[in-house]
Amino acid sequence: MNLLKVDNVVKKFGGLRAVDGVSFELEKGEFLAVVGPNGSGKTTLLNLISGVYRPDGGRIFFEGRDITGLPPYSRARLGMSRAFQVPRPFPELSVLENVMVGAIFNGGRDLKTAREAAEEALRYVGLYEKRNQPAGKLTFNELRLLELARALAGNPKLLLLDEVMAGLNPREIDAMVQLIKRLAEERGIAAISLVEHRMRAVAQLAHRVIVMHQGKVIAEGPPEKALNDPKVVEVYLGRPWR
Amino acid sequence: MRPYIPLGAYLALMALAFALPEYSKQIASIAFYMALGQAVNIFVGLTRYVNFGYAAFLGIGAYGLGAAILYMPQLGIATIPIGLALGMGLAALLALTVGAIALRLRGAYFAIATIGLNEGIKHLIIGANIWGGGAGLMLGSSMFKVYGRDLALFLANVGSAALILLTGLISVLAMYFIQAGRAGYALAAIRQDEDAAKVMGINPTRYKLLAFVTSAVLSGLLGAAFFSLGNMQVFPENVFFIDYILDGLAVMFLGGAGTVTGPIVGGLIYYGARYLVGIYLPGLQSLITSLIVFLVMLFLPNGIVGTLNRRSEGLRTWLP
Repeated sequence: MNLLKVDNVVKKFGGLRAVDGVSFELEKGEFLAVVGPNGSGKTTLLNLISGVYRPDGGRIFFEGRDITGLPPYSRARLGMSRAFQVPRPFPELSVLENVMVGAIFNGGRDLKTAREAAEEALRYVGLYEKRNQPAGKLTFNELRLLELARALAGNPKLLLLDEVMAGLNPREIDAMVQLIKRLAEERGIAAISLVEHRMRAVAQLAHRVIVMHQGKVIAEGPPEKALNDPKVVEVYLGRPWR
Repeated sequence: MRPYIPLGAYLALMALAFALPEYSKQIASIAFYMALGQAVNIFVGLTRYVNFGYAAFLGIGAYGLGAAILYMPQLGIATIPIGLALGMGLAALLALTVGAIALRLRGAYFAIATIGLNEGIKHLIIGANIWGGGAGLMLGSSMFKVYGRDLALFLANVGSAALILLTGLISVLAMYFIQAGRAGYALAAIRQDEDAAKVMGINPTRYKLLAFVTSAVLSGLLGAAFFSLGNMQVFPENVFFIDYILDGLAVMFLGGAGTVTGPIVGGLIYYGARYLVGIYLPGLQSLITSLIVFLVMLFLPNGIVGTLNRRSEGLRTWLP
């Protein structure tokens, strides 16, 4: 049984079909990159999976269970964690407390176990030394890592990563990509990562790539194959010059 | 956080009310503002949602005790615990009903949805002629008959002051236990980013409802202690009085929203300010106090205790 199954989902905003009949499946421990230009429907797709939006059509299954009608907090408890594109820390809480929130409610655990899980997640992403600082005082890169730690502490089966590389410098991107890859390999956590910027650097590390354009999937497969698909090249670069 | 200073403050005032019964009325008035701010704080301070229908809970609590005293005199002194339980139970029921629906709304929309609550209940009581309708409940003669003159007066003076202070004390404990557990983390998350909290597994409505009902129950107790027991009367126009939420907010913001010691400090200052303005500029209390609140919001948005306890770890622990 696959971890996630998205079956022909549709989301309309007025007359615009932001996501238009997208289907795919995701295995346990798989790292999937969803690539597409701005406005292609990637973020809407992620919002449909995490439960921020209800689809206008189609169904979503998690571990074989139909979750189409579940609110975001119930999906989180099933083992789905999300990191936002623009980090959204709770600024008045300390770094540790921020991560604890993720551990307490995603895992349904008591405060003591949650604290241990949070400390472990902070060590994993390399923020442990800053655990007692207020989250509002972190740098942008550190906030990204905090988002990741917060998502990790809930012991997820699936990580939903919304453009977690945007705004980072090349060195930071490298470190982040390595971190996500390590998660998939060491812990068997599946990840769906949205990629718009620095597409190649990121997407090449994924097990599989889905390319979206105008709400539809236009290419799917291993990174090299999907990214070099003529349709994809056309969407990104326009028609070949010849 | 160590809640000993705020708990100690309420216990000391309680001892004072028993030791100096001739001052119990003044103590009750000061304590009323403290406990009001404290109860408001449990909901508004922890969620940063504003409930303009708040006075309805004070009123419904007062009616619970009033009805027990007036309509069940055969119960004797047991009318007090039964009436208090009735008032708090009705407040909880009202809060659950309203909260389960309205707390799905965000911020300002919730505030607007609650505006009608207070007026609605008041006009229901007056219009349908429930519990004495517009004429209210006069409890004096019934209390004298049931409890005897001396006990009735003791209850109205010292008993009322002690019960108001007890409300403040229970509010401190409630705040302490809510913040020490899972709910404290949930509410902190909801307060700072409700959408992010939601995708992290938190059901916001559930935790907002917890704070809302706790605050309402304690307000019901406060209303019963202050109006029914202390004034020996319950008039719809007096208890369903919208100014009480403004007083409660003023006390809370003066001391510091979300702090435990804040409402004690805020209540003391707020009472003092109203008292002094009442002597030197009678009739201008509301004008001056709203000016004070305005200035506090402008220059001390975290309130007095809130500003202090951001200064150091020690103050945060001992002056929570």
